[in-house]
Amino acid sequence: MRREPSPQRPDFAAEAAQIGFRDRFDDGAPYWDETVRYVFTLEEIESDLETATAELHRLNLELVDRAARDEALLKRLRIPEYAWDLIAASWRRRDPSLYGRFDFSYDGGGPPKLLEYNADTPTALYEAAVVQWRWLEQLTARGLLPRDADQFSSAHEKLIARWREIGGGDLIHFACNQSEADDSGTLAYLEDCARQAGLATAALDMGDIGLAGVRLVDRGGRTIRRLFKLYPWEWMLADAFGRSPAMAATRFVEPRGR
Amino acid sequence: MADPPPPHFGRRAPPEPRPAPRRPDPQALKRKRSTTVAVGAVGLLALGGFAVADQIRARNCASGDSAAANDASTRCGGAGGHFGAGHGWSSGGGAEAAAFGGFGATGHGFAGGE
Repeated sequence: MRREPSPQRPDFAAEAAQIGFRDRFDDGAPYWDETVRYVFTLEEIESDLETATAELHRLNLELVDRAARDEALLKRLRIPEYAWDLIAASWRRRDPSLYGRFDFSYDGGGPPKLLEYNADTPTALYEAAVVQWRWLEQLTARGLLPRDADQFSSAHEKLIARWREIGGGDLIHFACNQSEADDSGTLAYLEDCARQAGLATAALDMGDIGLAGVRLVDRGGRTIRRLFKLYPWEWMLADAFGRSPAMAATRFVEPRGR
Repeated sequence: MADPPPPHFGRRAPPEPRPAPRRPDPQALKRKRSTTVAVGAVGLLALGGFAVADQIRARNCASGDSAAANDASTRCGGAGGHFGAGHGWSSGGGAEAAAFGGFGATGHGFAGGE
């Protein structure tokens, strides 16, 4: 792996506006920095990063499987008791997951070290799936990258394919705190992927999820049968509706075991 | 003649061109949040249907139906009573108007996965 200087695109502000990407923080400081790039070999990707990712994901699922059958472990993990049945039921149903993000420390000189597995509410997805790809395409077209340069990510295609697998036939609601730009941008991107997979979608703010008896509903009164929520499970369970019986009637992405 | 692609080229096809993700208008969201909740959209028929469902659930609970008691979605007793106050929701039977604002309070200022 090499870290090397990389030229900035002079027209990036226009590019960002075109693709709906917010390239600056609220205070005007740049959010997107393309003055350096990281060059990997295929072996580093496949032998180190992808292998570690698959193994850690497998271990994560193994832990969920154990926890779903072991109340002592759930207690040790500080999962609130009122959520135990929901977690176990979700795991037994094998409620599907869409995506997660591993944060590694890696310099190519040894195996990657895990910093964090964000399996519930990862952001920075539009950046990784689309903005980086367009960077590569544009720099290659301008002769600023080798013609054989590639991006070792197929997140965009895999997200669409995964939505096709797990979408079911229901309308899928997408919710987050819409006032947070990071969250609303990630949510809009994932909703767009779901639409490209042929699914019907509706986006809303977390505050616009309603409770009607034993159902979660949207402002239009439609039952929320499937909900992608970019909102941590621990907060959702702590919120006022988190103990509602309606929680058992909705299928969540990411599922409760995450 | 173009150079042949390297063996690993093409692992990633370019994203299809598509409209930029929509950014919600914060002003519109504020307006939406402050809108008075109405149940008209649900309709009288649906409300009647849920009233019947609640009555069935209440009857199952009263009769000690073990399936109802073990199913979290039909849990009997005070399971829903934890959060009735302040959100217009109660665990009792009958047709309910939708209550809003029960999610999102903890996440105020939350910035996703960071």
